[in-house]
Amino acid sequence: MALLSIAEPGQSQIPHRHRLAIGIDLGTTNSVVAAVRDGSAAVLADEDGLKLLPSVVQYFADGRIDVGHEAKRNQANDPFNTLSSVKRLMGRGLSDLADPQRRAYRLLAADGMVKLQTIAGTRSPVEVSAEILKVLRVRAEQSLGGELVGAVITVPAYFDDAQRHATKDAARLAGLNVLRLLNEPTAAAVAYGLERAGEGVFAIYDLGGGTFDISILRLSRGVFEVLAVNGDSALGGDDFDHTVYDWIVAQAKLTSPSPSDQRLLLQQARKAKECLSSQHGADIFARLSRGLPVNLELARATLDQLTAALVAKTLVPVRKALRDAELTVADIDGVVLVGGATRMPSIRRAVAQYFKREPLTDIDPDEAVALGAAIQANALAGNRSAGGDWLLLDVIPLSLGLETMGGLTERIIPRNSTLPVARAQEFTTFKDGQAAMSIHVVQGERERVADCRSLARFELRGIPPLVAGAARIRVTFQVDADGLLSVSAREQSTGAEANVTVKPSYGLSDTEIATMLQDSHTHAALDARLRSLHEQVVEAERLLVSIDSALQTESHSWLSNTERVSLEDAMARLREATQNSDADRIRIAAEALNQLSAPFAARRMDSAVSKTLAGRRLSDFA
Amino acid sequence: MPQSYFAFFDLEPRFALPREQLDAAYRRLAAQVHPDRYATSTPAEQRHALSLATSANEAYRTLKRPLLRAQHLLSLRGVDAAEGAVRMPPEFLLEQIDWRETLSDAQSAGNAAALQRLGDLVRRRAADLLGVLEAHLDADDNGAATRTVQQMMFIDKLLADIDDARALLDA
Repeated sequence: MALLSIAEPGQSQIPHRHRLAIGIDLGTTNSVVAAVRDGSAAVLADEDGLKLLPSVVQYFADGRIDVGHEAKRNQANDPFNTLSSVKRLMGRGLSDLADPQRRAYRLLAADGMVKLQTIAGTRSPVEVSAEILKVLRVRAEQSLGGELVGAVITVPAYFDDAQRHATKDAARLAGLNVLRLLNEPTAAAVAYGLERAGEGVFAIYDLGGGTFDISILRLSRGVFEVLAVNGDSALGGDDFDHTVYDWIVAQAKLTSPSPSDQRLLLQQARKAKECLSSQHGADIFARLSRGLPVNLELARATLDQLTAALVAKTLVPVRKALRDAELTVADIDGVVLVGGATRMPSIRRAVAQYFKREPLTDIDPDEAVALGAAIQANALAGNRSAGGDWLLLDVIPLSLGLETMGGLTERIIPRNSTLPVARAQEFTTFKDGQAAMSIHVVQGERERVADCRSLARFELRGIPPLVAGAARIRVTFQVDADGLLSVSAREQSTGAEANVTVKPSYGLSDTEIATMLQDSHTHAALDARLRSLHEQVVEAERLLVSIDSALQTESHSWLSNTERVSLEDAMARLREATQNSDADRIRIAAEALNQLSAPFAARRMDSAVSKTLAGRRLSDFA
Repeated sequence: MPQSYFAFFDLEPRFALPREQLDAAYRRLAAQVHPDRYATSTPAEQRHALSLATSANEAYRTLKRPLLRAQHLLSLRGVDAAEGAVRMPPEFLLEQIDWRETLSDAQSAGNAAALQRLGDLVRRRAADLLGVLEAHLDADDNGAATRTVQQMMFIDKLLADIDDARALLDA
């Protein structure tokens, strides 16, 4: 049945074989990996049975790298080489960071994203995140006992394009095939929705270590439709820690504590905050580097008072999200709390008060996101999904726009548009014979370009020489299901494709990724060349399997005999190439097969999907 | 001739469109063309799915909003409602000026209740216009429909400004 194979393309490929896929919650404070096993999602623990991996990476002079609990314990001893909360630096420049002086890192301003100076050399936040992901990948491979088809990596819903790109780059560096970037609150909703099979409109309040998201979504007959998201990608549990830290410094009358002491006191601040989630008072004790003791008691009431402004700050995005969804508090059928920071009683109280109902907390707030990601990964990999057939419809969190005259923003794609989404905009030349034009893409809600995030500057070249105003260049902005932007351009009157040079203001170029891969492998056991060969083989096999499965489904309806022969020929050539240890040859053969199969893809999908569309050709609409 | 979004969802090209019917049609199609269904397919199929899913979302967005739906319906009849001379009845313009004054007064006084009242009033007016618009479109009176669409564009802009003003008071 062709229709079934279209709806669930992965499933006919290798019957009865479970394809291993994982979900990873790459968190500010902790990271978690989960997978679907025997039909239900579970968090994968380490050898000691610990589920959470602290998102802390320690670099040593000899190239050794520690990730997790051990690194977390060493923070105060080696503050400059032990990096935590790096998620807050992803896709960020030095000027974006509100409190760089407070961080005990050696931060370097770099082109685009900030960099960190360590004893092992300069590292980008992407590389540090990749170390965390590698540990989780290895844990999953060992625990599941096989090669992974891919992973779903979660990101805060309010992450912009640069932060998403950085996250995807980190996963690539860690050797993971990214099936999808999934918004954290949406992942949590999947975990809750499929677990409880509820229907209605839900608010997901997700306060993590470094980011805050609010997501309003409707769950109905297996469709998770995100109606609106809002948030603050620089507000999280960390800020509560810093508030307590400031209080400690003020109470103990400390003047400019050393980086080690700062880190130690910050740890104590966090401990006290966590303790106050179940106790009414917490002791704070620390012996500073010069032997000076700090001994204080913090009452829950004092913590609540100190952090009341932060709690209130989360309610502003909540109001905005409800307004964007055109709903009121009365329309909400359930509120879900996600993220470790929502354990704080003051948060629970504020949320309950605002929504006039007790929030749902029955799934561990540290695990819900990874569990949801695992369920999604399992479905994307083509396994029978838990809870039957379901679909996620997510949105773009921040508007995309262009710089126009006078440094103002013209909105092209409004926030909360359902993904994938594309919009085209026409431009013209203002000088006779003008051959190039530059375009500046920004993301954000503010009117002035300077207040938005600069995503990319494009140079349109190869515009045919025409009189001013005669050239019509249509620029199309496409945002895919990961929330990532790509741009293409075409001159309308002559049909010439204008060249688009994408220069991401943030994020990494492919060359940078390649260099990083090289660098990371000088220390790793696996040789870079072998690694790349391995990746090419995996990629080639993936391609062969998917074409094979396509050929098995009523191929006579979309493929002539001659076409079939040439396709099978190209497949044979690729199979042969994979037997050799030449990555380039495999890549070329795969590329050839890809190009050859491209025209058939559209035909095949049409022939299957159009059965439900009364024989209409679907491609007419694309 | 532009592509018909109605045909895309296999719906009759009529202005009256029950929301449940549109939602069901959209979900049926989205379930088949969403890129999530093609996560392990060939790159070519993934690209094709991306473009189909993008069209499905655009079609849904257009048909969901009555004003956009009316404009799309008119464009299928060869009429661009957003172009050409706009001629408004004087009483309509006077009403607009009146509402704009109420808005700016409420804004400068920071009067949320007044904004709420104005919003309710304008929304009622918008609902009335929808009925008028439907009658014109059903009667194939494209000229009258276009004039109503243009009035609704004014009202839409006003409603957006009222919402923005309320948002500013909240923040």
